[in-house]
Amino acid sequence: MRVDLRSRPAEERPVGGVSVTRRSAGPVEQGPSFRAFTLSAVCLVLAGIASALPGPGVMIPSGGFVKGWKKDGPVRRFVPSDLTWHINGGAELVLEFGFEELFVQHYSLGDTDLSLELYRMQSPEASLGLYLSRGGVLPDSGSGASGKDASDPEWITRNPSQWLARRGPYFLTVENPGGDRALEPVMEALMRESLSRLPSGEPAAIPGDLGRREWIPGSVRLFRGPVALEAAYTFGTGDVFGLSGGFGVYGGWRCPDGSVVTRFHISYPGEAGVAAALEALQARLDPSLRLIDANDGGFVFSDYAGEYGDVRRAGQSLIVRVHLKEKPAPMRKPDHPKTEKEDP
Amino acid sequence: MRNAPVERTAEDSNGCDRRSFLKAAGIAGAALVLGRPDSRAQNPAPERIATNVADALNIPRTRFSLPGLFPGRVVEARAADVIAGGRSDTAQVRLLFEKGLEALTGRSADASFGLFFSPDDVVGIKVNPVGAGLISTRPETVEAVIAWLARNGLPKSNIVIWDRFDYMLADAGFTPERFPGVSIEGLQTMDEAAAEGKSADNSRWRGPDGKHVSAGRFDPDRYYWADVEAEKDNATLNQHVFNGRHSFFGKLVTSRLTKIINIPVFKNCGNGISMATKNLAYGSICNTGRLHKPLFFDVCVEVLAFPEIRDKLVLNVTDGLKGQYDGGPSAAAQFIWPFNTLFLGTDPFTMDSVCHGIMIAKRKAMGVAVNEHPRFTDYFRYAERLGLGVTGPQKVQHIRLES
Repeated sequence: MRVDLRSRPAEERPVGGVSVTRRSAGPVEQGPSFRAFTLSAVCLVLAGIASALPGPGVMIPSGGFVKGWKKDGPVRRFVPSDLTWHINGGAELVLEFGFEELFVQHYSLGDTDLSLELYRMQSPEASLGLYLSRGGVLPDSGSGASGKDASDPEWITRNPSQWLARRGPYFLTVENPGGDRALEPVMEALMRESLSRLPSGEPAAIPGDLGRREWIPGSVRLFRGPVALEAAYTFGTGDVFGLSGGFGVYGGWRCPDGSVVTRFHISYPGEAGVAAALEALQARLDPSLRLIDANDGGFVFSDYAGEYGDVRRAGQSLIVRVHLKEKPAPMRKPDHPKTEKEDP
Repeated sequence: MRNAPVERTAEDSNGCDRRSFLKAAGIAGAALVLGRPDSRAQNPAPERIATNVADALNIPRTRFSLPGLFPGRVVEARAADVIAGGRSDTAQVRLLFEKGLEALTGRSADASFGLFFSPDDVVGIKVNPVGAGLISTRPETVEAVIAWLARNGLPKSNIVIWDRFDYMLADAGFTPERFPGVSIEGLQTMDEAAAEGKSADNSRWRGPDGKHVSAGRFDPDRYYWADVEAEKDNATLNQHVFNGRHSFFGKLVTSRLTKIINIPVFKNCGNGISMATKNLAYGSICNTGRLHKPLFFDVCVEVLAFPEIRDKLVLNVTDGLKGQYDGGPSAAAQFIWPFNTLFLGTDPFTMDSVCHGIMIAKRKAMGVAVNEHPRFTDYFRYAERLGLGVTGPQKVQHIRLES
């Protein structure tokens, strides 16, 4: 399963060098009046979207989700330019996924308190990325989550200190700093009440082949840039996979022989895109990685720990494996990339 | 104080970006354009940034200088259920601390006091209040240390609990009510509302002379210099007191304290950790935002090379009563677990290298992807080259206590 970005409106597609659509379009000369018209139209659309978005007064419960619980202080709002004042260390990941705004509201009853954080991200994929990065689990991990609607309230992860949920482009946390289990019903009530106030949102496009059963539950993460990618492996600096705003997936992957490797899956809009990405990745490999074998179908490398990895083209995707104890088989040159079925 | 800048020997690192360095940190990747570079030579290692660490290395050492009285030794003291119901048992924490201390020194806790202190010392206890209540230094741990100090003749008036920022300490439980007779101080203040742009009133952090109100709390003659600057805007100045290439040590550290006890917490910082070395390196100086991106881990070595820290830091107690294995350095409740452990040592690099290994193992056990690229541990080897610490499994004596 992978994202078919072409099924979404053009303006939502990743833009950049790997986009076949963009490349095939070629340069188009546009006069000043056309550009001014376009700019005005974009502004009007954005203004319309902004005015249609529900505000904190609608989305943030005022209290009473459980008898006696009230707001404790005003709601606080953070935007990209000041998010770091709320998240001191780690905000860069949220920004990389695509962050719009955050509302923070505290609630209390006597000496006990809870906090609600409501993130509005740029897309359902962005909220999914944030949800997974915070330890959220897929509703049916390992058995194919791709059929789930993003608005399904079952996208909730519970633990005594924190509940996580997502709906469409929204990501929510209800936090109980003390970890008092007696507060779990209150946490649930606050979360349910908050979810009920959100727009249903569009279904999430699940990046990569996230629905495959081989992913190890709880290990799956999305990445959209170097911050998230660096958490898993150092392939090089910058946008080494040529994501250009798109999303990739990584996580533990159970191989047919039962072993587990760390696997990355990145889809591209076309074969030209995947070829360009492969070439760029190989050229920009981190100095700690040593190229062993390469051809148009991919390459094999060894790393600083004496382990191996490989990068292979599979249709319009790159499949990357790292932490291999044994040297992978030499790269097979794909005679017909269009029909390549290999999925290591 | 500054001689010619020297080239560092550590690799460039990209540690955890914090507030004021986000802009620089996150954008870099987006600038890459797909294409075919001619060769890998187009991506040479980033140029190293010059610092004044050589000045520090030229200053003669004392018998207390890092790696301290017990180089390469770390005690991991664990007791089941010190943390219960989210709270820690003060009596058990004291017992755990003193057992750990005895294992470190080979003497009783009381006899150990004289190894490090005299009653005339002014002892600073550096805590980490970030993530108050969730993963901050626990007051119970600090109480255990203070009880030991006071019992052995150190007046409470000679004890200072400190962090860089004053406003965080009370939230983390360090209040005069809980610690009577002990001084509780921040090196600086900061106006969060102004920094966030939610208030146009800068008078709470900026004096009539235009300088930060905390500017006088830093020592203009003692500083860490690095050839990198941050933005010169109000938000940066509010948080970092000074702009420019100098990070001045707090006067508390340079003038008042004669000894330091470092009590960080056990938590990750991306692929690295934010424990003993980071707690002091980024908590003793100002103007740190500029350092996160280009020098993150190297600062953890180089600031500790200055005698203000190197010769005064006599004991580290990493508070692992709770640990956080992911999401750090911010507090992330879902990744916090009751670890019920204290780590003790005089050598913060030994401690951090051991704790880094434990953190990696925990992350793997919890299914978190782990990047073990050498760039995240090069600073341990750098510290060893500078004679500040002992690291590496063959050289470290890791003592485990279970009770």
